[in-house]
Amino acid sequence: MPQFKKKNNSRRLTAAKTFTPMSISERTISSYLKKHQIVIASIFLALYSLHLALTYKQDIPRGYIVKGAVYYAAYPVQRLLIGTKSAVAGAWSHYVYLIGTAEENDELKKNISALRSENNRLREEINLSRRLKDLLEYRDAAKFDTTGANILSYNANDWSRTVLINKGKDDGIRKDLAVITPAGVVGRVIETGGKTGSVLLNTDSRSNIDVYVQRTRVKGVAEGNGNGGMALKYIRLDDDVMVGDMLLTSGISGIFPKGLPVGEIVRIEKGKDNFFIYIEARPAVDFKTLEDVLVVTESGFFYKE
Amino acid sequence: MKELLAFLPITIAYLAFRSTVSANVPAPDVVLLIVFFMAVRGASLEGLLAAFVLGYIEDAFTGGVLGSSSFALIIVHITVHLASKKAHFSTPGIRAGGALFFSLLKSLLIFAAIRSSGVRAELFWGIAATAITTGVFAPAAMNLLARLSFFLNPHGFKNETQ
Repeated sequence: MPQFKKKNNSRRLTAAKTFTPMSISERTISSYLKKHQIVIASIFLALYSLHLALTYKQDIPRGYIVKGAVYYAAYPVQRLLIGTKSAVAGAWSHYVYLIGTAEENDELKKNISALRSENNRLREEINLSRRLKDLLEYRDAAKFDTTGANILSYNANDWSRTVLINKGKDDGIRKDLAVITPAGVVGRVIETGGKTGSVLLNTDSRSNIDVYVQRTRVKGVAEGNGNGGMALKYIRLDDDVMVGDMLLTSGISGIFPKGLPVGEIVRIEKGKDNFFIYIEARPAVDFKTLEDVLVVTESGFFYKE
Repeated sequence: MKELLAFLPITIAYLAFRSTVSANVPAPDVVLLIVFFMAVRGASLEGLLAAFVLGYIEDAFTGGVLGSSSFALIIVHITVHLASKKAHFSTPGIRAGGALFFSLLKSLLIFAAIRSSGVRAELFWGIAATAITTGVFAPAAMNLLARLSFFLNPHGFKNETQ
């Protein structure tokens, strides 16, 4: 037994010799970090996120892999959901909605229902061909090259307004190309994936388009308000503008060809600074019913008087 | 980390749903509900990472200012954790009220972040509609998330909801 005790003691002594104890301050720091690791990690991640947000305007290419992966992963889900939505809407309008009356009605009513369904389908086809005809006519008449695209989804986050189109890098779509319809300007391409492109609508808070008032040629900047409308900036108190005036692209930025409709002035108020006036404009394009667009595949439309 | 991996496809499916089926209708903020759910059980590095990653994905998908949602969700995560020390988010009413409040807080933090980045955004009533919808759906959504969480971690009592 004494021999065993001795052995044990010698082991302890060896361990004591090799182990370098932490100083009190090191131990305090270590335990403090461990205790508050969540708060420290929160502060670090919050500051990093804020740094990402604050340096947004520096146009540093960021998150391409994540964006590409997210678009790639969401694309089939979106296609599936759009298909399901159309199928459910069709079933509702053509079957479920009529199920109560179907029990009471005779063969004639079934025929009417079938004819109505056929009529709806034909109307949809007429609408589609009309829209495509308008786009084609506009494209043929336009002095710039365009390519047609369908809208896949409408992303309305709290302050961002973007749409996803079914054309991307593979179709020659690149950043900062103008997106338009015969009714006017839709926005510009901000991101491109292989088969999809993200378009910043002109109602997004980050959108600024150089415009002029069609009637008086007064120049300003149409800025999205993030809530479905636009504000016309840098119009002075003595400038001649009125409700109903149309705003057209000036072509200064080089992104949009000159003379495309952007919006219509709907409200004019005296600004807070007694120098500029506050002008609210409604977009020329109705984004809620938008389905097909044209992407202008040319760029460098610089202002020519 | 299992939960974070399970919540990623849910987030992508939700974002795809919101951008197609409910594009013009106020929908509950599922991303916020996931972060709220994770924070109510206690702050963890996984919850914090989820707040950052899900916020980043939301911004990437919607074309928003990258980092603004992550920033808001991280602050929401830590605030929920601190608030859960004082109030227990155990009844459906408190969960609904909490989700409504934190949805508003998230929107205001995003607003502050994008305003600070130089974008001239304005406050509008749409954020209140989203907050109310989120609040209404919160109890049911949190029950579903709790079931999913229990399915992923069936043995631990620690990971069960309060």
